[in-house]
Amino acid sequence: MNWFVEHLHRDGTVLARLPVTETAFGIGRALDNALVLNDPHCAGYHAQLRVAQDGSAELHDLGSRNGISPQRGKRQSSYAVTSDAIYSLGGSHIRIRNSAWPLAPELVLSRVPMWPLAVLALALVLAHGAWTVWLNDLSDKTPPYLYALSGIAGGLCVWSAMYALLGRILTGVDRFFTHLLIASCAYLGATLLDNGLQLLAFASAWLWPMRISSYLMVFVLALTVRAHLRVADPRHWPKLRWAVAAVVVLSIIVPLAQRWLSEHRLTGIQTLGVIEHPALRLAPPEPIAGFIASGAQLKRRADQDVRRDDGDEGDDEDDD
Amino acid sequence: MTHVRRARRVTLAAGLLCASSLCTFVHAQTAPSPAPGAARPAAEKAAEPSASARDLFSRYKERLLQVRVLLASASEQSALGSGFVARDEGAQGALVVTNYHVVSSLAVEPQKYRIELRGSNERKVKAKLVAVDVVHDLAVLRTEPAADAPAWTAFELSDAPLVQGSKVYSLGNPLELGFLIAEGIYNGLVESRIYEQLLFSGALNPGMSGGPAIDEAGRVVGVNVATRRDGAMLSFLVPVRYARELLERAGQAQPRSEWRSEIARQLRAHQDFVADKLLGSGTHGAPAAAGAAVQAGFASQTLAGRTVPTLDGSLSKCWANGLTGEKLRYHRDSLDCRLHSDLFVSRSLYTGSLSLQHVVLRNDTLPTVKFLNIGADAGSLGTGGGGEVTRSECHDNYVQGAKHVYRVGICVRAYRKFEGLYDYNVQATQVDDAQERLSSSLYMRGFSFEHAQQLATLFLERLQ
Repeated sequence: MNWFVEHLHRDGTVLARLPVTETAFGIGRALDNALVLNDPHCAGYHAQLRVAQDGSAELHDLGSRNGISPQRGKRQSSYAVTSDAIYSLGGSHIRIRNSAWPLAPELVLSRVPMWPLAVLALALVLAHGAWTVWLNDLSDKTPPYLYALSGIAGGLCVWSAMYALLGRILTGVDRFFTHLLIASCAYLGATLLDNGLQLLAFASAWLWPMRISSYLMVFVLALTVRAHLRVADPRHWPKLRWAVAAVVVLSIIVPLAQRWLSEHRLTGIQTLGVIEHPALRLAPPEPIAGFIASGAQLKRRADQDVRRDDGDEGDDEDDD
Repeated sequence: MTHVRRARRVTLAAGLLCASSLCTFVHAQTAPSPAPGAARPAAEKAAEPSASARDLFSRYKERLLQVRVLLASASEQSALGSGFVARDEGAQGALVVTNYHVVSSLAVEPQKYRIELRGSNERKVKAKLVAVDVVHDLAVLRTEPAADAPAWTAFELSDAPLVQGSKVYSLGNPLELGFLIAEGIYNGLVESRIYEQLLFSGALNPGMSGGPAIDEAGRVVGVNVATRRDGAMLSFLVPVRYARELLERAGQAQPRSEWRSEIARQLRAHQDFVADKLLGSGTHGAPAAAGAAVQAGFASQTLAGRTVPTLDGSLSKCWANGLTGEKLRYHRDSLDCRLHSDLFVSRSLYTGSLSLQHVVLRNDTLPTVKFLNIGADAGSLGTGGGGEVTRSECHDNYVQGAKHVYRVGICVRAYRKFEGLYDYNVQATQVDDAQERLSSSLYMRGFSFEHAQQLATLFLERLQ
């Protein structure tokens, strides 16, 4: 039944852990406190932890200007300490713990080595790259297979190494192969998704799979970055997720908005330019007459464009 | 700056006739030296080579004019050309013939431009546009009469047919270097043109557009219009009878401040004419009867074993192209046909043309996946727009042709300034054979929607 006060860094690391040996444990800037905080936003005698006869503890504000705020809930002048919650005192953070409280269970250390998986995934990526180069090998000259493949491999490795370096700086562990696995899987996933959408568009005669393709790629990229960051910098992910989400939203909205401004529509893909194997086409063909007849709507749409553009032009002439 | 302007003027004019990208502009530095012994019959006693040109020039230079289109807000020239006095109507001013493309910016935006004419004797006079003929690239201006101005003397228009090999002299003010006379030979009519043009073996240079081409008696036989940039001394003249017809119209024309509707009317008439040639007469505005459609319209041609619709040889020129290479394991044969019917409307707009392209890809020894990966030659459809035309509005689906299934896309753009005219592109790519693929495109510029629909139907029906 011993109480401990931990002084925490903003990111959660423990700077100091002090046992509470007396019934009143002073916290503040003054040197005669039990925990001395070197924080200009703290009062000299900022707070006091009082341990009662029955072993319960309360944290009291000693009339400081900035007070004590819990991480969640309402700000009070005193708190009954019942769990290892974090309190902010000015710009400092403390956590009060009791030795009798239960601990989180021991986590099993993963012994699965990452490098075979990562190498396998990279090999799949390279196989796909080689396949793509081979598909385009039509002319007299053999294409530069080795340059293309080493370019892909180098790109993925550099990308992974950047996150590994970030991890090394922030947490001391680089986990290069985990990052390589993430990057390779993302590459494969994006390729699969893109080809799948093309097939769907060809089979169904729909255009929307092609139209959303680039936006789905943004999502794939965002998921990749999320996986990387959760490995490299797990402590900051809860805050970084909002930044990543904002970038995703912007990178979808900005091109859409620009296209809307310049063309008054949301997509540049108007016709299907995909060729796949004839056996994959499921949509039935239309007779020529019916197709041309339904093309008559284009006249109406083009005429509408003229009227709308005339409106725009009027504005322009005012500017002149 | 002004040099660029002028160069662009006639470069544009050259583009009128240079439908292919083969054209390059040739700057002739001087007027061609007249052939030795050349002399007009009336001056046979003059043994000197250029006696005839000298006589003609000194006699007719007073009737030549430089046409300057001025930007009203700056009072500086934005386009230059030449012109000639074709009729003097005394107090009402003289009628001056020039090219439509010289004054096109004024015709499209009359408020922003005005015209000034400059004679060889530095005489300056303002003029108004009174008639345009977009199809033949002619325009008629009327000078603003001044009280004490000397009377104009007009060129006589020839009505005698020319014989191939006759000597023709072209007059104008090229590159603002001064009025000159250039000697050349009349070489008959240009082949495979929808509208007549005279072939003139002589040098035309930027700035001479709209100037007269005269025979040895000094009568106007044509109007300078363009030159072929990839040839040497291959120039084109508008036959003078079109100028005469336009003068008749100009004589009765009411002055107008708005030309776009008139240009649109002429463009619509032009596409009616072109479409009628393809759809066959009597089908104007109504779908062609099945029998008639087989007779008229697209000719059939075989490309790599496939029967495809092409244009009649008398109207167009087709180019075939085959892929060559040592290691080649597939065939790619293409056929491009183009109807030489495009008209200059403004600096940024040529229209009225029709072209088509067929590409047959056939697999010889490639694995099927590789063959399928060869692009569909698509991509240009649906892009572009802005400026003179609206954005593309497209529609596409799988279509059952006569024998095969195609993915067909249609994209339509409307003309902003000219009502009732559309660019209409059709692209069909065969999708039912993994070893052979026909990709065909039909590009129609400045057509009425109904004609374009009819031509597109005919085109798709003829794909075998």
